[in-house]
Amino acid sequence: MAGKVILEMRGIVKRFPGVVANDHIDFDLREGEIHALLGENGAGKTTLMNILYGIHQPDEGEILIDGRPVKLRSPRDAIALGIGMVHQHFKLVEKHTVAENVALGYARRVFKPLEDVKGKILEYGERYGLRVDPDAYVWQLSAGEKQRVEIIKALFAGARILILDEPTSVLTPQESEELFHIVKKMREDGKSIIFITHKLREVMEVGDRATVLRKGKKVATLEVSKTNPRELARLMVGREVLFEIERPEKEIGEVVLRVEDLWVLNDKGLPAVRGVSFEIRKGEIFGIAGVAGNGQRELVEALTGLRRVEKGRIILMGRDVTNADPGTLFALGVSHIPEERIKMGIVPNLTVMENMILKMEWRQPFRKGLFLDFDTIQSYSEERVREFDIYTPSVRVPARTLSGGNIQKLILAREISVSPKVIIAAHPTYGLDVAATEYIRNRLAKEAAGGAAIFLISEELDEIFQLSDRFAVMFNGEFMGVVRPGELTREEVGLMMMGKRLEEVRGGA
Amino acid sequence: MNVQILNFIIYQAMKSGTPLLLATLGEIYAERAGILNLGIEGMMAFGAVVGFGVAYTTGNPWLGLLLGALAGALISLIHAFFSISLRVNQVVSGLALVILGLGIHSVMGKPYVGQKLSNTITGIISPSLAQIPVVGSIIVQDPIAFLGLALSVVLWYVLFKTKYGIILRSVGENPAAADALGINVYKVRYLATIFGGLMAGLAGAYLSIIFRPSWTEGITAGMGWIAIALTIFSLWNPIHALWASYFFGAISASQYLLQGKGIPVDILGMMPYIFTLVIVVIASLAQLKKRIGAPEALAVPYVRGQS
Amino acid sequence: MPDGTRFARILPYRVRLEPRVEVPRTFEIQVRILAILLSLAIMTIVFLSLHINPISAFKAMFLYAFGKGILSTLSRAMTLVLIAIGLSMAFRSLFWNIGAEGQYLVGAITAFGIGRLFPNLSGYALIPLMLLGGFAAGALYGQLPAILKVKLKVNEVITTLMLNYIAIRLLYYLVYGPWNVKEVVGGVEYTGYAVTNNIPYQAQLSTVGNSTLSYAMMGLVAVFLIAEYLIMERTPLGYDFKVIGDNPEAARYAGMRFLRLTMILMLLSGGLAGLAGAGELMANQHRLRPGFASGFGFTAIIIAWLGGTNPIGILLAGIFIAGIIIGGYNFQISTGLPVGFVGIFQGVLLFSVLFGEFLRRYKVKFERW
Repeated sequence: MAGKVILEMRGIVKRFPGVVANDHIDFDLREGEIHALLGENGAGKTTLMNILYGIHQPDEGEILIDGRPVKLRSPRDAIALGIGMVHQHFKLVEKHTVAENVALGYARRVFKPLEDVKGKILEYGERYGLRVDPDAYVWQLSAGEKQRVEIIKALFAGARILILDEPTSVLTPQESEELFHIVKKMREDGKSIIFITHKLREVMEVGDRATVLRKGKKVATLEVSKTNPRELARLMVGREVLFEIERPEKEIGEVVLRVEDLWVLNDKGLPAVRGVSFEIRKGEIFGIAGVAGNGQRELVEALTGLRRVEKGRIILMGRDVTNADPGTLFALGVSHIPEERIKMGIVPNLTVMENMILKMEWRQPFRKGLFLDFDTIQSYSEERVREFDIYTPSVRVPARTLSGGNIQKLILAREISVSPKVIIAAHPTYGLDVAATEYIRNRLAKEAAGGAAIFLISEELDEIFQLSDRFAVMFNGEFMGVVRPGELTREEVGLMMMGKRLEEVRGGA
Repeated sequence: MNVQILNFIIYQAMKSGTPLLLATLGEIYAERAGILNLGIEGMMAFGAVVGFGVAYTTGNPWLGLLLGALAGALISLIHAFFSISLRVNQVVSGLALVILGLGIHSVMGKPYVGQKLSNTITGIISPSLAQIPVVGSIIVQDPIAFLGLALSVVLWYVLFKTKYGIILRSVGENPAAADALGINVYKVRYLATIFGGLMAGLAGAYLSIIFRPSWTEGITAGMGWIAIALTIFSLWNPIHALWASYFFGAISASQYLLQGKGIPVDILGMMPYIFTLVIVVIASLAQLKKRIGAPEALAVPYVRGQS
Repeated sequence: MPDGTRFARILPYRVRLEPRVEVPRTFEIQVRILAILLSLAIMTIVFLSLHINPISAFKAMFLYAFGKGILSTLSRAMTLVLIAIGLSMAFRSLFWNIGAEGQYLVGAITAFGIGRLFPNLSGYALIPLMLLGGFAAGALYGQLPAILKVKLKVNEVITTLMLNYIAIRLLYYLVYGPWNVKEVVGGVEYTGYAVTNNIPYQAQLSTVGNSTLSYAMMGLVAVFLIAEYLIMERTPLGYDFKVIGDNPEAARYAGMRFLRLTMILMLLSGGLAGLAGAGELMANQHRLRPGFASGFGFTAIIIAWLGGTNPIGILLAGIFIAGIIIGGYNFQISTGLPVGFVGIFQGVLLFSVLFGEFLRRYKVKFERW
C-alpha cells in the first residue's frame, strides 16, 4: 500500500543544556503511510518532530525530502515543503474565530480575508469529516473540534506530510475513533502521517509502521502488522512493564469530605460545575474521569479555595468550608497537587528547600520568632529529598533546575508530608515518565491506605481504573454517574465522557 | 450652556484631544502586537523637540511634523530591540526610554527655550466660521486633527477587517500560533513598535508646532502617560480611542473655564491626572465585568519553541 | 524546551540565545560593571556629538563628584538610596512602583507641615515627628495603587504615575499659595517668591561640617539597608514578597493574602520614599520650592535596578549615580551644557543595565547558517 520514501531524517542530534534530546536518530516516511512514533514522555519524540517542522535546529544530521537535502530554519520552510504539524498544545488564538485562525495564514486577499477561507473550511469538513463552524470562537470549541481546526490549517497549507503530536491525549475514546477515521481517509488521499503517541493501543489501531524512541535514541522501526503490544512496550520502556501498583490493605472509614450541589463559574462567567454532589471517606480514592474542559479544573479550584463557590456547600470533617481561602483549607488538612505543576506548584527561582516549605513559612518549626529558621528548613528538606527520592544536587539549587518528574515529587513531598486529611490530586502523572508515574501512583495508594481521602482527577482512564475505589465521569459540569472500576468497560465509560448518563449506558447495554 | 462655551469646549476637545489620540492610536497597535511601550512620554518629547527644531530652522512646519514623527520612530527602535530581540522587561525598558527621551529633549531644546515659530499650520477653513454652533468649532481645526480623526477609522478598519489586522492581533494574542503559520512574529512586533513611535513622535511634534507653536521645556507634561491610560480605557480599539481622547480633551479644557472662579490653578491642574485615575479604574471594572482584557501576550517576549 | 531564536538573516551568522541555567555570583558583578562601562562608552559618543572632549568631561565630572564634591555626592546618595531600598523591595515583588517621586514629595510636604504646625517644639520631639510624618505620608500615598491593583487589577504603573503628577501640583499649590514665603524686611512684606519659609531651625538635621550630608540620614540608610536585607532574606514576610514576585500563581495557590501583603509592601516602599523626602527637606533643602520635585523618584528606579538584590549593591549604585548627578551639575555649570544631559546619562545607564541583565540571562552564540 505504501509508496516511495518521501522523507528521511539521518543521524539527527539535538542537545539542550544538560540533556541530549535526540541522539543520532534515523527516521523515514513513505508516501501514503501512517507511521507511528512511539516512546514515553521525554523520549525525544516531540523534539524530533519540532526539528522536522523547523522549530528547533538540529546540532547534527540531515533531512531529505524526496531525496533532496533540505534546511528547515523555521516553520515557514517546513510549510513550503508540504509539512504540517498539529501540536499537542493547540496553536490557536482563543479569542478569534475559526475562520480568523485559518485566515491568519491562508487568506490571499487583504480585504475580506474571511471570505477567502470559509468555503474551503466547509469543503474540507465534507471531504474528511472535519466538521467545524467557521464562525465559532475557538474558546467555545471542544478539544476535538480544536484539533480539527488544526488539521484543516495543515490542509490549507497543502501539507502532504502531517505530524500529529499526541493527538488523542485530549480526546474521548469515541473522539479518538473519529480521528482515526479522519486520518485513514487522509491516507487514502495519498497523504503521509506521522502519529506521535505513547499509547500502544493506538499504534496497533492506526499505524502501518512504528518507530520506537527511548531516552533520545531510536530503538527500532517495525511493521505494525508483524509486532504486538507486548514487544512494543518492552522496546519503549526497556523492560517488561506491568504497571501494577501495590494496593495495600486498607479500611474505608468515615466521611471526610462532603460536597453538596456545588455550582461554580468558569473564567468567562458561565457555569462550569453544575450541581455536583459527592462524598469521600477516609482511606478512599475518589476519581474523576472526563475530557479536559468539562469543569474538572473549576471543581478542583473550588475545593481548594481558589475559585468562588456560587451555590452549594463543601463540608470538611463536619465543618462548612465553602469559600474558605486556600490558606485556611491547607491548615485544615487539604493538600493540593495542582494540575499546572510548574506554573502553579513551585516558585521556580526559589531554592528547593524554600519550595519545600511553601504554605508553611509562617509555621513552627520553620519560623523562629520573626525569622525563618533555615537550619530546620534545610534538614527538613533534605529528609524529604531522601524519602521521596528527589534527584537534585542539593536543596539549595533553584527549583527550576529540576526535571519535571522531580518537580512533581517535590510538590508531592511538600503536600503529603503534612499528614493531610484530604489530598486533591489533579493529573498527578501527566507528562511524566514511567518510573516517576509508577512512583507517584504507588505513593498515592499508600497515602490512602494511611488514612487520607484522595480526590483524583485524571484524563488517563488507566490511572482512574487502577487507583480509584470509586469514580465519577464528568461531562459539561455534571456527574454522569459514579461507579467502581470494573463495573463498566472502557467504551461505556467513553460514552459517559461524551455525555451519556450511567442509566442510559446501562439501559442501552 | 451658551453657544460660545459649547464651541470652546468642542474646539478644545478636538485640539487638545488630538495629540492624545495620535499617541494612543500608536500605542494600541504596539500593544495589539504584544509590545507594551511605556516610553510614549519620551518618544513624544523627542518628536516635539526635533519637530520644533526643524520647523524653526527651516520655517517649514510640515517638514517639522514629518521629521518629528520619524524621530519618534527612530527612538522607539531602542525599545523594540530591547524588548523583542533582547527580551528584557518591557516596563523597565519603557521607563528607560522616557528618561532618555526627556533628557534628549531638554538638551536639544535648550537653544529654543522661549522661541516662537513664525510659521505654523492652521485650519484651511477661515476662522471666522468658528462662530457657527458646534460644526464651526470642528471645521476650523487644523489638518492634523482631521488626520487623527481619519486615522482612527482607518486603523480600526485595518485592525478588525483586514488580513493585516488578523496578523497583528494574532501576534499579540498567541505569537506561537502566528509563528506556526509562517508569520514572522519579530518583524510584526518591530513594525508595530515603530509605528507606535512614529505616532508618538507625530503627537509630540503636533504639540510643539501646532498646539502651542513655541518651545517650553516639559511640553509633554505627562500626556504620554495619559495616552497609556487611554489605551487601556479604549480597550485597544481605535474607535474608542477617538471619543475617549476627545472626551479627555474636553475635560482638560474645562479647567480653563473654571479658572478665575476661586479654585487655585494648581488644584485645577490636577484634574487631568485625577481624571486619568478615574478612567483606569472604570476601564478595569469594565474589563472585569465583560471579561475582556489586554492582548494575551502583552509584554511577554516571544521565544520560539517555548509555549 | 527553549531554543535559540534567530534574528533577521542579514549577517552570515545567526544569533542564538541560550538561557543560562545557573549564574555565578561573580558573573552578576561582572555584568554590572560591564553595564557601567557600556554606558560610559555610549556617553563618550554623546559627548563627542556635542563637541565636548569626553575625557575632560568624565574627568571633570568624576573628579569633582568623588573628590571635592564627595560630601554632596554622599548626601545626594543617602536620599536616593533610601528611596531605592523601598523600590527594590517593590520590584522584587513585581509591584511597579513608579510613584516614588510622589511619595517622596508628600513625605516632604507632610514633614514641612508638621514643622510649620509646631514651630516651638524642641528638636528632640520635632525631628522624629517630622521624619515619622514623612514616612507615614509616603506609606499612605502608596496605599491607593496597592488596593486598586489587588482589588480591581488596575495597572499600578499608571496609578502611581498619576499620583506623582498630583503630588507635584500639590507642591506647586502650597509653594505658590498658602505656604508661600512671607518675609518682612524693613517693614515691607515680600511675597511672590516661589519658595516657602525654612523649617524651624531645631528641625534642621546636623551635618558633616557645612555640607548637606547629615548623620541622621546616614544612620537611616544603614538601618534600612540592613532591615531590607533581613526582611527579604530572613523573614516569612520577605519570603512571601519573593513568591509573589517570582510566581504570583504559586502565591495564589499557597493562599497568600495579596491585599494585606501588597499593602504592607507599599507601606514600606512608599514609606521609605516619604522618609527620604522628609530627610532631604530637613538635612539639605530646609524649605519647599517647585524644584523640590526633581526626579529623585525616577533616579532611584535606576539605582534599584543597577544595585540588584543586594544591599551593598544598592549602596554602591546609589553613590555612583549620585556622583553622576553631582558631577554632572558641576560640569554643566562650568560648560553651560543643558542639565538634561544628566537625564541622557541616566537613560543610557538604565538601558545598559538592561543589556547586562540580558547577558546575565542568556548566552549569546553565533553560528554559521
